[in-house]
Amino acid sequence: MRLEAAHLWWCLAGLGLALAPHASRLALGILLSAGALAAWRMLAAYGYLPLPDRRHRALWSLKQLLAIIAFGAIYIAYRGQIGRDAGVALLAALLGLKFLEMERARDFYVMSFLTYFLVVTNFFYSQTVPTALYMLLVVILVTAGLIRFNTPVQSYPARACLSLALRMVVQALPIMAIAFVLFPRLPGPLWGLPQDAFSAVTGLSDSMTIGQITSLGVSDEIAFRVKFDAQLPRAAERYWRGPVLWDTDGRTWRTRQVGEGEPHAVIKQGPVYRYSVLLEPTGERWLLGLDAVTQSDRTAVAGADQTLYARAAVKQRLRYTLESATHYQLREITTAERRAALALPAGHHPRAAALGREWQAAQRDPAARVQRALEFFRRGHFVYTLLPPALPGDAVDQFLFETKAGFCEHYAASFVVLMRAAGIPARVVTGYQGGEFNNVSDYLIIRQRDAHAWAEVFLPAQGWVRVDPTSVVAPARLSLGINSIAGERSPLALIDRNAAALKAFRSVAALWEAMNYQWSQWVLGYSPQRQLEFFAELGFDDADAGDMILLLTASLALVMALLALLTLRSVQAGDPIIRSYARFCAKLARRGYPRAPTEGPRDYALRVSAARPDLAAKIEYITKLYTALRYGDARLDPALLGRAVGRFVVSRDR
Amino acid sequence: MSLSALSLAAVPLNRRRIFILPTRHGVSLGGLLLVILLGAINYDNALAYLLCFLLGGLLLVAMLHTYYNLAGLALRTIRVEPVFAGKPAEFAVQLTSTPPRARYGMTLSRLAPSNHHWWRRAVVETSTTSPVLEGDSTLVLRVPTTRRGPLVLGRLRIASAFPLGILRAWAYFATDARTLVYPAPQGSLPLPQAPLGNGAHQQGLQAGVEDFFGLHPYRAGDARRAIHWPSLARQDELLVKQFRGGAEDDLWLRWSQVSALPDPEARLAQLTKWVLHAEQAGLRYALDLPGQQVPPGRGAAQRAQVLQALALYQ
Repeated sequence: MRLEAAHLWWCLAGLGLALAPHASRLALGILLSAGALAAWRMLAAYGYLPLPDRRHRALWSLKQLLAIIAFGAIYIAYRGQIGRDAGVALLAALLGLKFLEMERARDFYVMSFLTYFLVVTNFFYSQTVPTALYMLLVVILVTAGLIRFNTPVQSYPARACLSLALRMVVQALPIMAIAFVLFPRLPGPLWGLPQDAFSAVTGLSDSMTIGQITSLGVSDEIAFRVKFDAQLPRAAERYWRGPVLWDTDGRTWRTRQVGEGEPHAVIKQGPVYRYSVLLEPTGERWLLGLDAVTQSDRTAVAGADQTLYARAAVKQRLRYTLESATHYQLREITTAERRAALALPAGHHPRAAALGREWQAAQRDPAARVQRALEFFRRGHFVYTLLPPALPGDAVDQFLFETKAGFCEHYAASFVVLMRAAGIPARVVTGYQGGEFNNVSDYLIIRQRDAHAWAEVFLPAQGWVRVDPTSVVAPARLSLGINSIAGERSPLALIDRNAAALKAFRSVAALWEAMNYQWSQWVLGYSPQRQLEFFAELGFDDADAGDMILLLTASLALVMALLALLTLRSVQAGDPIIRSYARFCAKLARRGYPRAPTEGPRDYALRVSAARPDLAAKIEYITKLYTALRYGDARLDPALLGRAVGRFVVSRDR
Repeated sequence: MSLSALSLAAVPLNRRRIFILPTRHGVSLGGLLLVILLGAINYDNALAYLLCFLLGGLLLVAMLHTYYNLAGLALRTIRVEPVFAGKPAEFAVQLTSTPPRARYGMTLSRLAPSNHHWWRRAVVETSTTSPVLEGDSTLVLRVPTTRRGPLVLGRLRIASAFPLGILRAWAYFATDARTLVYPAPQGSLPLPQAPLGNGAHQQGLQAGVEDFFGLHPYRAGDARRAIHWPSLARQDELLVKQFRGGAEDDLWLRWSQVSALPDPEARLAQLTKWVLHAEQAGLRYALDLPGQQVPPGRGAAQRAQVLQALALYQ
C-alpha cells in the first residue's frame, strides 16, 4: 500500500488530538517545531516542498539541525532529568521528526502505534472520566486511520472507516472490561519512579507551620470519600483523624516516630460506625479515619497515637474499611509519650508559658485548667479568619496576645502550648472536619477545604480528650463547614443568593460527583487488594495469579465466542432461502425421504409426493415458492418460505 | 489431454482452512502493548491498564474481522491459454463470494512449487492484489515461464490483512489447473524449402498450384481462405475446399534439419520458430521428430498440435 496524502491527514488528526491536552504543558518551542515539521510533510505530500532525503543534502542537514536543537532545548528545559514532563516533550519532538520522515507503509503503522502510546502519556496527568472519553475518541480515530490505510479510497468512504472502527472498539470494550477486572494485578512499582511522577498531590502534611493550611482552606479538591454501612455520625462528631503532631520548635509542629508500635486500646463508649474510605493519593503513608478507629482491614495499620498508616505511601486512590467509635476513651500513656506531650522549646513564647504556669498554680484540677484556657479564648475577643495577619515574631505569643485572629492551626497550636505550660500533656491532631453528603449515592465527600487541626489533652480521669479551641471561637465552623466562614471567597458564594439556582446546581453537581465516585471506586481505585476482595465476592477466597488467569482465559473465550457468533453469523448461515429449503429437506429426511445429492427440487418433490400424497399440496407449495425465490421473482419475501417451512409438519407413515 | 483444464477449488473457505497470524506490524503492536502494560503496573495507572486491554481486545476483535473478510470465498481457475516460454502464463482465477459481499485487500499468490514445510516461509513466486472484490471477480495471475512443457498452477494462497493490517488471514487452494508452455521461438536458420522448389511455394499464398480435390464440411482450424464461399449461398453448411497436395508439396520440418544446433532445446526452439513462419505463410506443414510425427496440415489446429508435440518432446 502506498502512502498518500489522505493517509497523512488521518495520521495527523490522531496525533494532534492525542497531543492537544499536552499543549499547555509543553514548551512553546517544542509545539512550534513539531507543527512546522508536520506542515513541511503535508506541503511535501502535495509537491510544494521536497522531503529531506539524501538527494536534498541541505534539507537533510536542516532536519538534523532541527532534531539537535529540539533535543538540546528539552535537555536544557528539564535540566537533563528524564521524568514524566521531559518524557512527553521528548516524545512530541520525536513524533514531529518521525512524521516528517513518513514515506513507507511501515512508517504509517509506526506513527499510528506511537499515537496509541501518546494517549497513555495523557493518563499520567489526568484520569478523569472526560479524559477517558476523549482518549477513547482518539483511539477510534487512529483505528479508523489504520482501516483507511488498508482499504481503497474509492469503494470505502471515510465514514465507513469510522463506523467500522467504532464497531470494533465497541466490540473490544467487553474484552477490556473483563481483562481489567480479572488480569492479575501486581502491587507496587517494578522500577524506580521519576521524581515528578506524582507532583500534583496536595493535602495535609506531617508537619504544620502556622499559616500553611490557608492555601487548603479554599481548595475544593476532594481529599476522600466515605461510605457508611448504616447511619452517619452527627456533623459535629465528624473528626477525621490524620497525623498527630508532638514536637515543636516554636513555629513548626512535627510528627514523632512514636510510631507504628502497638496502638493503645480504644475503649468504645457508644455506637460503632462501619464505613469504607476512598482516599485520593496523598503521597504519604498516613491514612484518615473517623476518630477513633477501633478496627481496620488489612490495608491500614494503627500507630501508637491512633494515626493510621498504609503499608506504603499512597500514590494511587486507596480504598479501606474501618470501624470507629465517636465516643471512646484512650486511657494509656507511656512515660516517653508523657514527656513528649509536655515538652516546650526552651526560650520561646514566654508570655504564653507564664499564663499556663499561672493557671497551673491557681487550679489543682487539670480539667479546670482546660476550662480556663477555653474561657480565655471565648472571652478574649478572638476572631476566626482565613486571612490572618502575619506573625513575624514569636508566633504563639503574638497570636495570643496581639493579633488574636487566626484559624484552626493557630488555635490548636497555641492551645497545646498553653496546656503544656500548665502541666497538662497535650498534642496537636491534624485531619479533616465535617464533610458534605451526596444524596445520589449516599456518601460523604471530604474536600481539602475541610482540613482542620485540633488538640488532645491527657486528663488523668479520662485519658486523652479531644478539645477543639476553634469551636469555641467559631462554632459555625463545625456545624456548617468552612464555607459558612470563607464567605465571599468561595466559588459557591455567588450562587448562594439564588436558592433555586443553588438547588439545581447542587443536584447536577451531586450527580456528577456520584458518577466520579463510582469511577474512582471501580476504575481508579481497583487495586490488587480490591481485586482480591472482588474475587472473594465471586467465591474465590485467596485467589492467586493462576486462578485469575484461568478465569480470565475462560471469560475471554466466552466473550470471543459470543462476538464470533454475532460477527460471523452470516458466514455460517449463508443464504436464508437455501437455509429454509435445507430445513424442509431435513424434515422430510427424518421421516425417511432424504433428498439425493443429484436430485433437483422438482424431481424430489414429485418423488416424495408420490410416496406421501397427504403432503403433496404442501410440498408443491414450498417447492414452488423455493424455485420462485431462488430463480425467479426477486420481489417475493424470503420470509414466506421460512414461515411455510416452519409450519410444515411431516407426520409418521401409517 | 485437455490443455485448459477447469480446476475446482470451489468449496467456500471455512475455519478449517483459514489461518491467521499477526503481521510484522501486529507483532510491533504486541510489543507496544507489553510496554504499556509494564508502565501501567509500574505507575499503577488504571487508565493505562484500560487502554492496554482495549487495544488487546481490538487485536482479538480484528481477528474476527480479518477472518470474516476471507470466509465464504470460493475460487476457481478458468481459461488458460498456452504460452511460449519466457512469456507469462495468464491464469484467470475467479473468486466467488457467498453470500455476496465486498472483500478488501486480497492478495492472490502462487507459491513456488516445492518445499512446502510448515516451518519454512512459503516463497511467493507471483502475486496479484485487488483492493476490493465485489461479487464474482476475476483476478489474473501471471505466472512467469522459463521452460517448455506442462505447467501446473499448483498451490495458491489467498491472503488479506484487512481491516487493520496487524493480522493476516490466509488460505491455500490446491488447483489442478494446467497449461502448456511451448518452446520459445528462437533460432536463425532459414525455413527449409518445400521439395518442389518453386519460389511461389514459399510465398505459398496462391492455392492454384495445388490440385482441387473436393469439398468437405468446415472443421475448426480450417484456414479461412479455404472456405468455399459460393457453396454457402446455396446451402447452409459451410464447405471448405480441399486440395490434393502431393506429399512432395508439404513442408516437412525435421529434426535432422536442425541437427546442426548442439543443444536439443535450441533445436526445438528453431523448429518452433519455423512452425510460426510456416503458419504465417499459410503453408501446409508437418513435423518429424525422432519417434513422433505430426501429419501435414495447416491452420490453428495443426499449429496447436505441432507446438504441443514440440512442448512435450522428451
